[in-house]
Amino acid sequence: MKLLRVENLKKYFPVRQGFFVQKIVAYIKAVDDVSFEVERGKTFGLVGESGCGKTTVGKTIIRLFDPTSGKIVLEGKDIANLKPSELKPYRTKLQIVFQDPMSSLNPRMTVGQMLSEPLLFHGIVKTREEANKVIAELLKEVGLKPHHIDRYPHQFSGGQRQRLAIARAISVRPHLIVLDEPTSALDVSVQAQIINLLQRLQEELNAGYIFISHDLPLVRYMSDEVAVMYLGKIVEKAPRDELFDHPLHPYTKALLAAAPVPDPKKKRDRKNLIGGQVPSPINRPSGCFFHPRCKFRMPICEREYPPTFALDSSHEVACYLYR
Amino acid sequence: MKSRLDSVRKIYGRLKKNRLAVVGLWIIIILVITAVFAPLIAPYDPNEQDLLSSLEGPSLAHPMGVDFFGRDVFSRVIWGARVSLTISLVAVAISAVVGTILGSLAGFYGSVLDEVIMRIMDVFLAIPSILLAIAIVAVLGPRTSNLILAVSVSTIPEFSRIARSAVLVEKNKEYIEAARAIGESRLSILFRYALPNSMVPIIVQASLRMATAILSVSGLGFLGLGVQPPTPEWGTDLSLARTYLEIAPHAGIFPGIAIFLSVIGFNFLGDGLNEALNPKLKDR
Repeated sequence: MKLLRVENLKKYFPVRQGFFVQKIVAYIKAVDDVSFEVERGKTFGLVGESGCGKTTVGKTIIRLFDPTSGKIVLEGKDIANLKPSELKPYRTKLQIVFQDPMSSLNPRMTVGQMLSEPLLFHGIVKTREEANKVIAELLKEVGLKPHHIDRYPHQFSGGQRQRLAIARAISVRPHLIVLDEPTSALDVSVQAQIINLLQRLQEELNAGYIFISHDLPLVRYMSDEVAVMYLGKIVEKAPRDELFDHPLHPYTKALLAAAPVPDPKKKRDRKNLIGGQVPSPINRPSGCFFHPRCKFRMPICEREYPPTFALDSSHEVACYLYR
Repeated sequence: MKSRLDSVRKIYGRLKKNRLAVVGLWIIIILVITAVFAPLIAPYDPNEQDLLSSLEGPSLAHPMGVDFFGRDVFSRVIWGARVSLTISLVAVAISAVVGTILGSLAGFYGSVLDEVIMRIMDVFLAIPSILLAIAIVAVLGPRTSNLILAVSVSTIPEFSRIARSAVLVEKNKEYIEAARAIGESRLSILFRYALPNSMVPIIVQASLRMATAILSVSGLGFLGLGVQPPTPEWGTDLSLARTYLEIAPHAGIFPGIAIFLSVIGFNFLGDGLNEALNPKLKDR
């Protein structure tokens, strides 16, 4: 059984206007018909420019947002339409680590209070004493000291705070963790430590990760499978090396060309770079959303959004070039 | 616990930098001590009449003189602190609690509940608070409980607006989303996560509102709608002294000074707290 299967997931945010009576004048289609699968112990990477909907995918999967339509099948059970009360047992299987550790920890709670919340709430431990024992273990697991239990978040550095956020996420022993740009707010040296920690924990917990990031080398390092998103849709999805070594979609090529190459002698692949801006998700271009910025556009690209073409069992691309 | 004490010390350290705030703090400390120990400090019973010395000016025996009914003004001002402070404190506490709950519910749940609560608050805000208080006391009768009700009702909208905006800011922070990911209920998230992080502007507002409440209580007293004689109350005493202001100004001046000082004390402290609790404000 797959850990997670996302089918045709859509999340539209209504745009309201009006003074007394608010009318819905448009929708921001943040996530539009996204499908993918995650297995236990594997990492699924999600990349794209800011505003492409990758964070919304993550937050919708852990049901911080109610999906507009589609299925979120977690270990065989569709949780897309469960009510908050019905979701409670699934909360221990799904957790999230946010981007900014400065705002993701409650400034008025000590480490002990913060970490005992999920433990006591889900009945993993019964008493405070038990909770404190588990918390001491958790802190060691993420590379902090047990005596940090009485400190407040502001007494920690950014990297330590992210370790705390990770400790909170793994406290319920989740099967799936959404990592929403977990390192982009940190220094490079600290990033490496956090990435190593995440990889070690993945082995320990045998958890599936959804790794959301715009840092391409990092995604390549972390992920087993990678999907590229553009304006709410997945434009290309492939196993890691396949995607990075043989990108097909012009947008994927452009993204890879834009990433800096850490070798001064190598030239960047400038011919694939693109200009222009990401169009507004309220008023998306006709046909393929990428066609205004695409060098290879054909007449059909302006009319119809391309279906997904499967090149083999694992490499999918939504582009008419591969018809 | 230790860290909480530390943060109190830190806030006091920042408060100390603002001279006026320290002055305000001391005025309030003296006021509170006076109110608590009124029976020990006051040289006379505030209602004891010595009609022979009626309207006598300040002297060693009566440092603030004597009023028309032969009562010692000094003792009455001291006892008046008790009445003014208690009524204002209870009124502000009630309106802070009720206003904060209403405002934070409106801000946190949004949509219809927000509209309903805030539009009702707007209606109250449209009426000048002193007028609203007068109307309430006039309808219900000048009893202490009604006075508290009048003053608190007229300040509820201010608290609800401030609490609403503070909760709106906190609501979208990631630690709230993390709590939701754990599965905690919305009410629990509001009261255990969002509200404790929204307290700063509410505390500042409470201090500033104490000043207006004292003013409202004495204002109502002055109009005869507040605390009823012979209970010593600054506004009521001031109103009584008004008749003899030309021949015995001391009977009115001293209660007036008491009102002025306490109002200014709470205002200074409120402004100082605002700066001390929001260190970012000063950098601007």
